[in-house]
Amino acid sequence: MIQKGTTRGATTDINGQYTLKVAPGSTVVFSSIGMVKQEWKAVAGTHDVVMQDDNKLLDEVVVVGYGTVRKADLAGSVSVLDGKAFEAQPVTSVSEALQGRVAGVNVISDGVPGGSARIIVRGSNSINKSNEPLYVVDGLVRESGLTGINPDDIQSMQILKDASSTAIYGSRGANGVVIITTKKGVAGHSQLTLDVSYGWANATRLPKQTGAQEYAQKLVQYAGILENDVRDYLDGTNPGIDWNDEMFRTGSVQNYKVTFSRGSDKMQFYASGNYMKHEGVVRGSQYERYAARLNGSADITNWLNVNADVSMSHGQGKGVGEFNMSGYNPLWVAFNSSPTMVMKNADGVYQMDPYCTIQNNARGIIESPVERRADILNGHIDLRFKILPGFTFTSSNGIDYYNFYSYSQSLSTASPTANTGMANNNTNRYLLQSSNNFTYIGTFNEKHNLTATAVWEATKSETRRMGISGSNLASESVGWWNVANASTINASNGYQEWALLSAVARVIYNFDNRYMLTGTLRADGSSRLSNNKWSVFPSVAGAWTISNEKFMQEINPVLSNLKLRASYGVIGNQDIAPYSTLSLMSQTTTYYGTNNPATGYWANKINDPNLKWERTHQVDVGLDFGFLGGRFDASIDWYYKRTTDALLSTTLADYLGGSSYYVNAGEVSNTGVDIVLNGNIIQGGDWNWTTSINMSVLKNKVEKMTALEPILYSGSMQSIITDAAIIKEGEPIGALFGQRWSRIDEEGYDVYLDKDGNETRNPTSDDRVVLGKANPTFTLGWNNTVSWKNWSLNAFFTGAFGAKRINALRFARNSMIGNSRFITDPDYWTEIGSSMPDPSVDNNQYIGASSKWVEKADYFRLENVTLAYDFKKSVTRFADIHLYFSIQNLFTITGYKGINPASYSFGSENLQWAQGIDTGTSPLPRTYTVGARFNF
Amino acid sequence: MKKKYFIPLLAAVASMNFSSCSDFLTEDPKGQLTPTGFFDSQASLTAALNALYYNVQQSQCNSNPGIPMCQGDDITSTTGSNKAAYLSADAFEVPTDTKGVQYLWLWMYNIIQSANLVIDNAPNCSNVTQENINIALGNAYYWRAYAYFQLVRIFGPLPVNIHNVPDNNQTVPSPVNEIYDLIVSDLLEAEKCNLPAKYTATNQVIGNMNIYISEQAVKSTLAAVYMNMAGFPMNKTEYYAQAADKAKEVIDGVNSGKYPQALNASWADVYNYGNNYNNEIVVGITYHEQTGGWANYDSQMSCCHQLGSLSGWGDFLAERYFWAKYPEGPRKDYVYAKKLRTTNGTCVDWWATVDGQPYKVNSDGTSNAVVTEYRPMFTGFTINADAAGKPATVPYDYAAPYWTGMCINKTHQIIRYAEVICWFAEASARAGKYTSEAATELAKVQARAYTTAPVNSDLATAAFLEHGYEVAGMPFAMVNRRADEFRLNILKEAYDYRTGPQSYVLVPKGTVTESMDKNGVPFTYTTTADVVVAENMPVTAAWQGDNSIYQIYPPKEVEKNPNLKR
Repeated sequence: MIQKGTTRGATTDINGQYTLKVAPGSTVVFSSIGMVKQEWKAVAGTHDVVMQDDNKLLDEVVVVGYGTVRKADLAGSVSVLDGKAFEAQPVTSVSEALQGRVAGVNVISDGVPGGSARIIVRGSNSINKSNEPLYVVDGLVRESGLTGINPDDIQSMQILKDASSTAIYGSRGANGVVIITTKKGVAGHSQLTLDVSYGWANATRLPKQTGAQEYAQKLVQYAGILENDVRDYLDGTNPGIDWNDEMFRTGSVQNYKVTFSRGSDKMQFYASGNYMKHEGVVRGSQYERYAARLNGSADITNWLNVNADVSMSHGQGKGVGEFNMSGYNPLWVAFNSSPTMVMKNADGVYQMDPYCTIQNNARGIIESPVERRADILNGHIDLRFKILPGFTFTSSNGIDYYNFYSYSQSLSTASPTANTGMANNNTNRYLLQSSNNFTYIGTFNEKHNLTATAVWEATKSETRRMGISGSNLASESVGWWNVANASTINASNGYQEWALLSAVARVIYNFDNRYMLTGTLRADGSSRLSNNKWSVFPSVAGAWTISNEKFMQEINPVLSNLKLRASYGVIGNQDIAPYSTLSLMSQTTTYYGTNNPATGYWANKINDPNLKWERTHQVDVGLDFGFLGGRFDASIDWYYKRTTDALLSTTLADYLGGSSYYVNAGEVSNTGVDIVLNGNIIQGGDWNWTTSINMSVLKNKVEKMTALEPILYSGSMQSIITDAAIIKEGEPIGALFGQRWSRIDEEGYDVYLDKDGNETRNPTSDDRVVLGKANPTFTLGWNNTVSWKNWSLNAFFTGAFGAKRINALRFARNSMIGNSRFITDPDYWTEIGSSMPDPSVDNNQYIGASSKWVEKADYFRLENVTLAYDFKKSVTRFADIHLYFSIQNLFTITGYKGINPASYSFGSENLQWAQGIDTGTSPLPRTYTVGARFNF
Repeated sequence: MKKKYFIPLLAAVASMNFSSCSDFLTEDPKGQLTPTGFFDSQASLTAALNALYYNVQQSQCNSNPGIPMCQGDDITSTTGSNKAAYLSADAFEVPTDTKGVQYLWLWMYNIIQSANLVIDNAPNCSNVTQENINIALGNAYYWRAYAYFQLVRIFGPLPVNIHNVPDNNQTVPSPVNEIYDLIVSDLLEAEKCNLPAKYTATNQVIGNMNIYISEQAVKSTLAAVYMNMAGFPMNKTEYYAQAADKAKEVIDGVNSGKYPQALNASWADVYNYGNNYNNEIVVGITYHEQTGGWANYDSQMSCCHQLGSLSGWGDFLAERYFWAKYPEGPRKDYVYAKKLRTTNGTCVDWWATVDGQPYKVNSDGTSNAVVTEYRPMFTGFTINADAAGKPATVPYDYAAPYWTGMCINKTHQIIRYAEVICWFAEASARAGKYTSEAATELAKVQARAYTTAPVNSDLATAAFLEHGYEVAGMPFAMVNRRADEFRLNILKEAYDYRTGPQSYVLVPKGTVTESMDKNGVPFTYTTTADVVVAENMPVTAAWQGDNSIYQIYPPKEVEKNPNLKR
């Protein structure tokens, strides 16, 4: 606090107490980082000050690539997610924090403890290549993604969406950029925080299971099983197996976080530690995270500032790592398993299902020991030189180090035919980045503000892999720790590297806080391309703050901010695997009747050395509004993105070997609108209500494909469903594809429509049509906080509308198909003749890729509701205490019959193609969490 | 104060140094191989052959590529279940589920692609003896010919790939006669390579069987190809003489001791898992199970013949009519399960009913059959379990428990010597040469198949039928039963039987029958009526000549190359 117009001031002590001597009537200004300044006419005595969060001010600084900019100067489209937005909720990962909270950002996580998430910013641009945004943490590109980051360390996240913001990242910007700024020590401020929470979780929306007795009756009636074989189930003496009970349990999450920060004018320091343990609802699944972070910043001289940052995390996962689109997905297997089977024999060996699935016992799969360990270390040192007034040079040099180990063991008890085996695998990667940034910030004649930046950057990443595996262990007791114990030993290793050189220039010009112009240019050279390594990515943006015009002054008290923005730019994607433009041979391993592996090579790959960068052109027009001095604000952005020269994996005809290779072909467009509304609906007094809504409308379309391969197919799984998703001109990426189902005919057969609209029992591949799209048209996030005195209630809703999915799991449970030989859905039997075929007819065509199994995947979900109570330090004497109780996923309103309308099968190669195919994803748990946060 | 200008400059220069080397952006794919300069040693040549054999193994690693073989009159598949693709082939329909044609096509062309690489590069491979170059070339030519031979009989005209050169999807299918020219030319090239009769090196031979292709294998295959050229669709009957000549070279070689692959003494040994690499196998594909999971190098055919109600998958089931016509004898008892072993261990006849009454299907689809499928069962891939539950290395015994695992080391028998004898006999009879030798040789095959060998009035027909019996239920034989019917253009007869009344008496009235009642108690009864049962899969599609015989090209291939039209 400071007496206005003087240098007389004071700071609070650790308890928030202060003393400042001023004359009565003088004005005292109270300020704190991140809080709204307050003024007070001094009177004698004590004065309590309650500071208000400041996240509305237009002077707010937004972190953009290679610098910061006042929000008022911003001409591009950047979403800011403050750490406070999720601080009060029990989020355990960064992707969870992003979900539903930013317009235009779609997050889907796989539901596995410590698992993966797919984050898509403004739709998918690339058909074959990654659509993940670029992650930049404190200026350093993080190849390790969001894993291992403690959300509590995050000060704010900036999501760069339009071309003006992302073009500064050139060849890696096309999918958007997520910039994470971590917390730092603050001058004149010290703080110790402890946060402890514990939660319980249960799986929701699990498929119904058939009772063993009913199932046995149907086996006798329809599968020709001898009554004698299932006698004990028929007479009820054997209750059989409930697969939901076999696979799921009550999970738990415990999370402990401690942070300490302290700072003086010349030196600031921040440290944090985190331990989190998540026991998943699927038996055996578990993830533990140990994370620590240290940051120190010091002014060495008046012209040199040094900032050093190290964060480390160790993650340890156990159990099934992903529920992917495959017949080995244990959930798929469990939900297609008979209740009438023996779980284990007398020797403890998991038994096969004699009647339905042909896969190994699902419980046996999840009980097999698997362990994954990842060490991630990020560190960088930034040297900032203040060379001349307004002129700085910053050299930022960092490392992103990732060391991953996985272990697995195949037990002889996993199935009657199981072989024992073990495997160890290691992936070790480090990325080095050196960014060297000259920035000039100046003001001329009070009205001309200029920020100019030039950057030279070099990045190199190296990955080394090593793996050993052995089968037929002499003794199982040694686990995975003695490969010499195996009768067959296999080893593999590999190396990969890529490098990127970049030069960047940016000019931000602001005239009189009314007219803004930003231009950027980036040149990138990539090792991944052969003959076309270099490319240039330009962008331009302009903004007009209409509310700062004189003619607007009269309505300013109401319409306090009105800004029109427009931007255009070109951004790239070079994210093909290293060596893709070289011609490499494929390796095979085979055995000639003995345990000795024989390695082979064949030339089944071809390459295009003239491959170049995929380019995305984006136009964005936006309007920002602020009402009543920022009490309400809104922004709306319309954008159009078009990707040309898309990196498209094309396959030769199978008669030429079916080799895949990349070509620059194909075009994809994304059009959308992002809307954000924020309001302090009730403020002041005991009652407060703030609400924040973000909405996105998105249309994705494949504009052009090649003549050589006009349609790309995906969504096939072990002959159970085939080619259920396609990439085709005029359709969105991953359009659902298949037969048109008509009805069940009089004899009990499924009847489909052929291409002429006539009914047929045996449709051909020519009869297939597009059946829907897998991406939602409209997504919604709605966050509310209502507080009354020391109580606060936060409710966070998400929703998505317009997506459809092929419910392949429901199909398999209601069909006799491939490796799911009988019907496990209890609802089937009453539907025979109306929606389900008679299982005794000779050759019914059970077709998963058909409109019969397409369902709307619209949903609206109460993602999180948290009730909290705050005790002031003045009451507790030792700390501010924030106590909370939270429920995640309290309810989901949806007509979708599958487990989770918003998840999809991870681990498949072309993930986004087949995202509309549901083969049994991890259920979304309902989690109850209690927690306490102490601010000492 | 000058320092503050100097240091950033230094830093900038340093960072440029770190990155300005011209090779900073040049890729060095450490550990990876490129085709340029690859062929420079015996090891690299062997590696190329390993990749070829990887593809050969893959081509039969699951039952999908065998699906089109259900057209043959020996095999059908399970109805009312998950075998729609198999049943489409069985019923001469255009398949809705195209996995059969797709995998057969893809995997055969993969063989061709890996063979092309060897054929194009082996002759100039440095640091390798001519003998070993010949072995590589002979094997590659052979498997390329084999793959085209498989494809041409399923699809007819084919796009030809002999150098792996991208074609912009413009290739027009070559007519059948040109494909045969290519097949014969490749096999003659292979023959010129002077391949050994018996290999000795690791991974080239195992047990009594060659893994690599021997001279005997090349000549045997040539005989089969010539016979097909004499039959459908080229009908150049003059090739019977060449077939007879080539088969005779093999027979003479065996009789003189030059070639080792000869008849097993007993039929029990033919599919005996205990004699997995037996002496009779002229061409075989070895498999080896490693992980317990599916891989390209293990056979997954173990329970494909077993009926669904007997813990099998019921992929390739026995057609009742073919079984009924199949002559009795030791061979029949090994090709078909003599009795069906039910899940409680009781062995019953396939036509047994639980009440001893005539077979009756109720309105709800249930029946009084003991074993629901109510049909005989092939056993070629079926293996018993030993006391420890592991695959038993003995001849299949119908009374012993089945091994119900999946991945197994079972060798796939592509050509057996007994088949070569049948080809010799038939080609000789049709060409009118070597007929007495041919009859003598055929008698050897018959001697071990029958308790009392038949007297053959028409040698050609007898030899043709014997071959069909030898390979019955073996969709993966190079010349399977479907291929035999295709060659003589008699698939229409199978179609006609299935669209007709199907009134053949499968089991006559008065047959003593072993059965089991509803409670699992065994009993014996005598049938009181003839057993006459139509095949379960109705054949309703109209006969469309060649289009009923050939499979459609894989639809995705047509999408890429619209020239793929027949």
